[in-house]
Amino acid sequence: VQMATARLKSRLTEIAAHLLEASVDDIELHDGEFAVKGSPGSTVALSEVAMTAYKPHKLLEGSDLGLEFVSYHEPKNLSYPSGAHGCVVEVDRTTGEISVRRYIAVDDCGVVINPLLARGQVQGGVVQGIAQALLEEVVYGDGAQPMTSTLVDYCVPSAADMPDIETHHLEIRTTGNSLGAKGLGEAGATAAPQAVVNAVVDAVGHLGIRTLDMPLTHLKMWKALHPDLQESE
Amino acid sequence: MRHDIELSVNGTPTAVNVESRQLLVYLLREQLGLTGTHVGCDTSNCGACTVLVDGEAVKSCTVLAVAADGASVVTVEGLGTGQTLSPVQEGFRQCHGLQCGYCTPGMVMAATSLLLDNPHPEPTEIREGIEGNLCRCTGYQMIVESVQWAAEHGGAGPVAAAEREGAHT
Repeated sequence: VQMATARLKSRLTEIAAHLLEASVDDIELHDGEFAVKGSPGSTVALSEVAMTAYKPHKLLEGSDLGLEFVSYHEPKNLSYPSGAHGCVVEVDRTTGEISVRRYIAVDDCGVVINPLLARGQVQGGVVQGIAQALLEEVVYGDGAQPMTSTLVDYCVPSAADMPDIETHHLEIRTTGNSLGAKGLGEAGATAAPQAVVNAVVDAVGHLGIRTLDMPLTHLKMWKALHPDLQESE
Repeated sequence: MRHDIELSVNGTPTAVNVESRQLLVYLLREQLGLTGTHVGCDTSNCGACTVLVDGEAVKSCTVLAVAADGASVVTVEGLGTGQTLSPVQEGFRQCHGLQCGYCTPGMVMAATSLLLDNPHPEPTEIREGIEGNLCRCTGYQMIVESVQWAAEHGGAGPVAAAEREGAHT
C-alpha cells in the first residue's frame, strides 16, 4: 500500500505540475490542494487533479491515463514479533470454576499502523486463546460418536464468559520493510493459553497440582482439586 | 402444505405464500431478498439471524414463517432511516465493533433490543444482554464499547423505539 500510494502521489504531482505550468520539484501537497512553492495564488484541488488523470486531452501527449497502481513487496526475511502476556485468575475450590480477573498483553509488532485495529486483533486473539485454555474441546463418546455437535457444546465463549483485555505496545521497528511493521494477528491466540494455564497452575500449586491439560473445564478442575472424591468406576 | 400470511417487514406490508416448514430467516433471505440477516449455525446457538419481531430480539432460524403471521419484523436493513444509520449501527462503525462482520447484523439487533430494555446498561449488563450472540473475531470488548457509544448517542434509535411502542399499544 505504501509503495503503491507513493507512485500514486508521484503521478498526481506530475499532473498538478502540468496544470499549474510549474516544475514537478516545486509542487507541494497540503490539505487536499497542490500548490507551487513560493507562489501562493497558484493552486489546484486534489479532486480536480484526479479528474484530469482520466482526461487525455488535458494531459501531456503520451501520458498514461488513470490512477490505478499495484505494487508487490517481497520481504527479504521474516519479521519477528514478540510479546509478554500475563493474567490473574480466580479458581473456585468448591466448583472448579475458573475466571480470568485481569489480562494484560504487551506486544511488539514494530510500528503500530492503526492502533484501533491493532487493539482489536490482540483482544480477539486473546479471547480465542483464553477459550482454548478453559472451554473449547471436541469430545467423542463411546464408539467414536461425536458428542460436540454445536457451537455451544464446543463452547465458543460468549461475551459474558470473557474479561476485558488490557493491551500495550512496544514499538521496535523491523528493518525488513519500509513501514517498520511486524505481524500481530496471531499474537493473542498463541500467548493466551500458556498465560492462563500457567496462572491456574500457579494458583493451585500449593495443593500439590503440578500440571493440568487444557481445556481446564469446571469438571476437570474439580476432579484435580478433589482427588479423594472421584466417582467409582 | 402452504399458507398465505401477511406481515410487516421493515415497515412495508408484505403478503407471501410460505410452506409450513419454512423458517422466518429463509423467508427474509430467500423470498424477500433481505440477505443482511445471516444464517450462522441454523440451531439458535450463534444469534447471527437475530431480528426484531414486534420490537423484541428473536433468533429467526428458530421461528416458523407462519408464526410471524400478523407480526411486525425489522431486519438490519430497516434499522436506519435510509440516509442515516441507527445509533447502534453507527456505534459499531465508530468503535470497531466488528472484524469479519458475520455476526454483526445479529449483534446489532440484539444490542438494539437490549437498549430498548435498558437504555443505559453497565458493561457487565451489555455482556449478559448479548450473551446469545457469538462472535469469533473481536473478543467482544469493542462490541461492548460500541453499545456504550450507542447508549450515549440516542440508544436503540427511532425505528426500533417505534416498533416496541407499537407492539405495546
